[in-house]
Amino acid sequence: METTTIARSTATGGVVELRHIDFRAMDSDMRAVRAVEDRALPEERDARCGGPAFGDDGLAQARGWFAEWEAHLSRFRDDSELAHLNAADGRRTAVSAILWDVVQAALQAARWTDGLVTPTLLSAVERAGYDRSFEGLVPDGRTGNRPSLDVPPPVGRADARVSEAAAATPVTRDAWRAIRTDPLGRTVTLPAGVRLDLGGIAKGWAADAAARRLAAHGPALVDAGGDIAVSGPLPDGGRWPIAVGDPRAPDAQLAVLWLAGGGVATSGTDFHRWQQDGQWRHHIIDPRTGVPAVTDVISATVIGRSAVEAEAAAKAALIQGSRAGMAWIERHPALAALMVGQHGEVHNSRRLERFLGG
Amino acid sequence: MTMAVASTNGRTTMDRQERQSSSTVGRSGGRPKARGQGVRGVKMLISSLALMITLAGWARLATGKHTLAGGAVVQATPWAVVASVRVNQTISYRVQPLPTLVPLITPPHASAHRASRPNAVPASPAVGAAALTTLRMVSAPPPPQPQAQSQSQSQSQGSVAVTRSSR
Repeated sequence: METTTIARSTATGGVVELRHIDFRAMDSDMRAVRAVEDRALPEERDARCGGPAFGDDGLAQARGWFAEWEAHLSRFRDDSELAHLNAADGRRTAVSAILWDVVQAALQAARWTDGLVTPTLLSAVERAGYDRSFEGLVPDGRTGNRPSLDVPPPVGRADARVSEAAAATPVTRDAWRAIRTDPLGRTVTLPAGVRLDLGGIAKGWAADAAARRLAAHGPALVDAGGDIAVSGPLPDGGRWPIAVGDPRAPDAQLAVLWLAGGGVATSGTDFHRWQQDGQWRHHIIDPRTGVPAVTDVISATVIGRSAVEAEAAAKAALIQGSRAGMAWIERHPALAALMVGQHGEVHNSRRLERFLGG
Repeated sequence: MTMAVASTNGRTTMDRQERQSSSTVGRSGGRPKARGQGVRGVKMLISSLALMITLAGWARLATGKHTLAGGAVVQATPWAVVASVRVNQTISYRVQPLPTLVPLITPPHASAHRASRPNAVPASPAVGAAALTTLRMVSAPPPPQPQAQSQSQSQSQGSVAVTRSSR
């Protein structure tokens, strides 16, 4: 765990200190940050040799939260709750509060995006070759951090879960509408052949959930593999600076966004790529076609009222492309976006301006 | 000149001239002729005196010393030095090597030259101003940051998190 101090002028003459913890979970890099205002005099801070007394700020527990959520939501773990649900094959299944919440968030995203973002694409993404976790894969020698696999056609992940019915199930934009949920019994019934991939929605939901928990101790930010939730303003009323990574250069940044709350997320075809039958694939499936989306956008960053909303909006905008995607963003007053095209061109939505500059 | 007047053994210059004239007159053998030679001798003497005064003035100028009205001796600027400085300045302005421009623009001795030599041609104001402006842009320190803005300045250097496609 590290503590980073940012020199800030506050009305009280104190400083705001940030402490964060980094870890790996859900096949992604995670970071949880807490902010606290230290009103002690400089000599008092020196005397106690360090930052303010954070006390029990929840950071130490963040890793455990994500581990628990991953155990419920991962599609790569055979023992996860999601794996059991996907194996139900048409039977009604009682689920935990965690899986219930995330399934509800995924269905809400599907309704909001008219099926462009849907949890029912697991079979399609596996057919495209994304049938195992990128975790632990040897980095590609040419691209450095982009794992490259010449993946053979899926063979069912060496289990029987990719049933004949699933493989034969046509990918439709409306498949999610056939999912039945019962809030009283907290049960979920998937149509036969339909399996869920909660992917990005699960990360956005986890970021929001962790930020809410940390907020009990004070302002917090949670970054779940690029899906970022902000619980509220910094102790002195300031906004959190969040950089937008450049998809063309791993260490470069396109802009710094300043958020006092809500969330921001990025969806892109630039990182999770692999080769299948000699062709490059990515993990963003277009439910209208059932194959990796053909789009002129390589990265879409969206600011929303929560991380899960931003995640869904970013994926919907990317699938639609720069023109239709940006128009869709502009129709939603709570959203602002920055998109990077295939040739490096950057498109900003009209409302992005309010998040630029501290 | 004055040494000729302060002659040895009490005789004056006129005495010697008279003796020389006597001998000459003796050889030529006539009084009117001696008077004519005397007039010519006086003219030669006056010419010699004028020539010597002129040479002495030039010699003093060459040594760089002259007196002001108050009698103080000041060091005049040698012409050769002024000329070389002006040449150097002209070359440096054209090339504009900024690091070496600094001592050439305002050297203490150069400003003294201009002060003591009003006839010296100053560097072109336009050229000098441009060079100084360029220099200021290069060497100017970063603008001071108001205390109240330290928040955004420091934080923009390093953001808290980075959003990108899932890593």
